[in-house]
Amino acid sequence: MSARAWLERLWRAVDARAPAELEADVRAELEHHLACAERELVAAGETPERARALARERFGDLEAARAACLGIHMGGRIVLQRIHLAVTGLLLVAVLVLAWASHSSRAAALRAAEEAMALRAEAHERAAAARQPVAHVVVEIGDQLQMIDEFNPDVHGTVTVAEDGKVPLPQAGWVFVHGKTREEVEQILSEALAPYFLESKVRVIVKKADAFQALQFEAF
Amino acid sequence: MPDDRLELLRGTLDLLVLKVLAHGPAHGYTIARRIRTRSEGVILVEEGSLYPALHRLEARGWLEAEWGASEENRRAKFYRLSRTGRRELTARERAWESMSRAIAGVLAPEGGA
Repeated sequence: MSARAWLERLWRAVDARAPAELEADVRAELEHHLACAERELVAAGETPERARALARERFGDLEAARAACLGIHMGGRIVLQRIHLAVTGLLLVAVLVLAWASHSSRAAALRAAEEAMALRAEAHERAAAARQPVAHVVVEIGDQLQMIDEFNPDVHGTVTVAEDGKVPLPQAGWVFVHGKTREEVEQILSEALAPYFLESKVRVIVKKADAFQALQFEAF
Repeated sequence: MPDDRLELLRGTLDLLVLKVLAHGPAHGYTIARRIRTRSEGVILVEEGSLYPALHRLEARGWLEAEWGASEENRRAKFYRLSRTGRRELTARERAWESMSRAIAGVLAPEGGA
């Protein structure tokens, strides 16, 4: 049987009437049959009582016939109810699956966003760290110091640490810096300039001689 | 004479019901009476089994049914052959004819053909 024929049959088998109405219809139909049989038997000369008894006897099992008729009509309804139940169950499963999928994808998106944020923060930190001046650079002979006084911008320039470990400063003259860290050099230079200015704070960038020489070597 | 009556072969009740209704709509009692009279009382239709058959054919879509007034002006359920029922009747009649021809052939005396 094709799917279409099966659906058509199911559609016909599904009676829209309420069970009570169906039962009343079947009962009325069978009673009509018995009434016709009784009338025919009475017309043939039987007494009404005998005609009724004969009609019932000829009919056979009235209750079984009634149940069989009702079963045929209810059968389609039962099939439809099962289909309804199955479809409802499937829909429920689909909704649960969708909800779970939506929840897990949202969690995954959240996790990905958190990871991206963490990576970005890490990169930011790394970049910030990269921007920081290298701490504890020790100044040696031959290093170049690029310096500027924050309070006196005209005091600026690049000087080379001489063989005696000193650098020349305007006004202050030669100041010994060899073996000192960058921070110490800043402190020393600021103090050296202090007598000549109201305030002095020297910032220094150290260009290491070996790296500088290596660069120069590469350049030539 | 119950001994002269024949129990219906399985499936033949449907064919008889479809054939009776090919002549026009009828309610259950009329269908049973027509089968009895047309078979000259030979075919025994158990009335109790006629109604489940009618309802089954209706559920299959071979019969259509509607409530109306009977000859004595009582509420009765009338059955009518549907278009698919008519097609089914034609197919079943053809099958029945070929089957009865085959049976007749087997039952015919040897060399008689």
